[in-house]
Amino acid sequence: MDMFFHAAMLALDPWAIGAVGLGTLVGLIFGSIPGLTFTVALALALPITFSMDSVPAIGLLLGTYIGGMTGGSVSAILLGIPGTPSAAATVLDGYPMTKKGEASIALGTAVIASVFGGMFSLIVMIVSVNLVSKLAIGFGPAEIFALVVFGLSTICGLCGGSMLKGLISGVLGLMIMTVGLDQMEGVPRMTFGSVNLLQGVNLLVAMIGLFAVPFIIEACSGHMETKHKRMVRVRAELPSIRLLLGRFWLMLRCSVLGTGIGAIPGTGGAIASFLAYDHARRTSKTKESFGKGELDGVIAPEAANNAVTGGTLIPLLSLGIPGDPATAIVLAGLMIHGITPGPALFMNHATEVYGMYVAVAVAYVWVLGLQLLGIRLFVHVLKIPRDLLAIGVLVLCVIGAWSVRNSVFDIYAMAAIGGLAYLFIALEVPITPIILGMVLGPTIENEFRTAMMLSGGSWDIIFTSPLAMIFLGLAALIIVLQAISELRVRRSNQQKVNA
Amino acid sequence: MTDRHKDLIFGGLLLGLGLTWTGLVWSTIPPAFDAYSIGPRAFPLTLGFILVGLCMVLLVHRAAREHDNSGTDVPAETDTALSRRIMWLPLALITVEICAYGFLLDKIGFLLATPLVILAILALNLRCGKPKVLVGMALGVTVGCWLIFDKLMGIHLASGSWINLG
Repeated sequence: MDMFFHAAMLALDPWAIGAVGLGTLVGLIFGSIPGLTFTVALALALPITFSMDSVPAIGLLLGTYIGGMTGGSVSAILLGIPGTPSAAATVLDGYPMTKKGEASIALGTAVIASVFGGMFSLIVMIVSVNLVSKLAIGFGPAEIFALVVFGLSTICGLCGGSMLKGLISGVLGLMIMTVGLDQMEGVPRMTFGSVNLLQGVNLLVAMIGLFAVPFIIEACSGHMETKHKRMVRVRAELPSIRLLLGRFWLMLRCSVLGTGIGAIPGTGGAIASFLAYDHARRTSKTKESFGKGELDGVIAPEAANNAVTGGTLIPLLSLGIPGDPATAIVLAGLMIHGITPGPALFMNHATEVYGMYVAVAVAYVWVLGLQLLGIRLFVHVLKIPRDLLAIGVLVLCVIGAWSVRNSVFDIYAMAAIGGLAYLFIALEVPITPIILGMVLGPTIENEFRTAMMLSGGSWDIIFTSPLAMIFLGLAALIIVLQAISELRVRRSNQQKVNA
Repeated sequence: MTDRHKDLIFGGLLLGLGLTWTGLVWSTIPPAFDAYSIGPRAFPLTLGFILVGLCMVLLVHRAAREHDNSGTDVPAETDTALSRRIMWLPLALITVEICAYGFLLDKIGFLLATPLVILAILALNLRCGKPKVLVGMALGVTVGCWLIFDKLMGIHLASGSWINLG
């Protein structure tokens, strides 16, 4: 308990509260601008945390993540364009509400539902992380290796339409992380005599290149935008207590759904929000009003997609497995600050973990305040032309890449990786698996080599471990299920063409 | 360019990369000291083989399909809302501009390099000729970033080796 109070003191320090608030504001702004996802915001925010203490630093990142997840609803409701994929389901009823002149109540209710979902998932997270960590404390190198293989298998869920391209992308990520000095024997690998490459490709530089540079190229590909978007005059209006109480069970059910889906690596907010929307429609007495401006159609996806935030943090903190690109960046942030998520997290960094819990709660308080009071700011932000915004993002990218090691080499690396990422996206090759490969690559190699060293080169250390076999089995199951699902979609499309 | 052509080019290029990678790994990284341990070469080599294998599967799969764009493809969810058409000129311009920005940062520092690059992007990429926008963006972004990052947050911004404004 003392440790918790100590952590709470650290997280409730004015500096830390300010950092979480800044992160939340940045996340809300980036999340509300279509095309500029909060993953970009996280990649840009990471270098800023270098000079900060661990609790405010992680608070800033979590604030950005949570703010971004919530911010997507602003443009979804006001413009009919989701700011983030997870807000796509909110468009279905949010935008019709705006057209009916009910934008204010839609925005206000979306904020309340988001905060409810987020706080619910925080409680589940607090209960689960320690429990899962305790279960995982006995893991040896073989089990951790199998666990990371399981984590990598979630590439199948992150690869969009083509599993094959997703796997290629994931392998590329793993390959990139083998460049540099071998961590176990200190042998240079694929460095071609370059001193800059001895430290390998920096994860943060790669993330900035992969997520931010393609946006800049796309936004700067034409002439300047001269037309401003037409925007209604809005404010966020709080729904009545009666209205909220009447929707309490819906919010609760959707929060459970969102937390559960978030806890499964490779899923994410988009899936959770669409499932929640479908659930709300199916269980509603007024099914016919969905799609025409039904408030339940805003509450359900918003509660679910914010509940995902706590859900994704469960495998991240307890097992070290990031479920989506945003949590992969949070993981990188944790590692930069010397916090290694996984079974030993509570033994080594209990204060920081409790600090994170408090920071998540603080972030949701910020979300509530900023969304209700500052909604007009976001409306103005949505008016900024994308190309001018991209110039600002470019400068932030360069500052971020430079600040990693004060090296121009990192800026060149960012440009090269960004250019390749743009080509990949244009060729419909998913780039998220690259990040997953880069994040999990060093662990999978080190744990496998350690396991082999311990067993004298015998694979029995893996095949005789029930836990390792369970994880490997689950990984195989995920791959097979994804392959079947892809085949089904292909057959269904073929039948449509034939018909 | 059709989806099939795109996949064939992508698969072909990465197959080349995989083969080159495998060859370089084999020739430049030493193997393990003994037969019982996994050396520094094993992982990159295995990854090279896997990449080659996956690319061959992709190439065979796409080459075997006679009817292109029959609508049977699973629509891919790309990570951002980018269009599917590759815009080579903006790609080349931005890549060169970022590299030039890096070079200039090292030589003339953040305070001089940033407005120059912003002016270049506004003029070359966005064809902007409005003096207000040009000056406003160049000075606004530079001074804003300098104040926030350097003065407020204490993050070191580049100071040039040729010209150093601090």
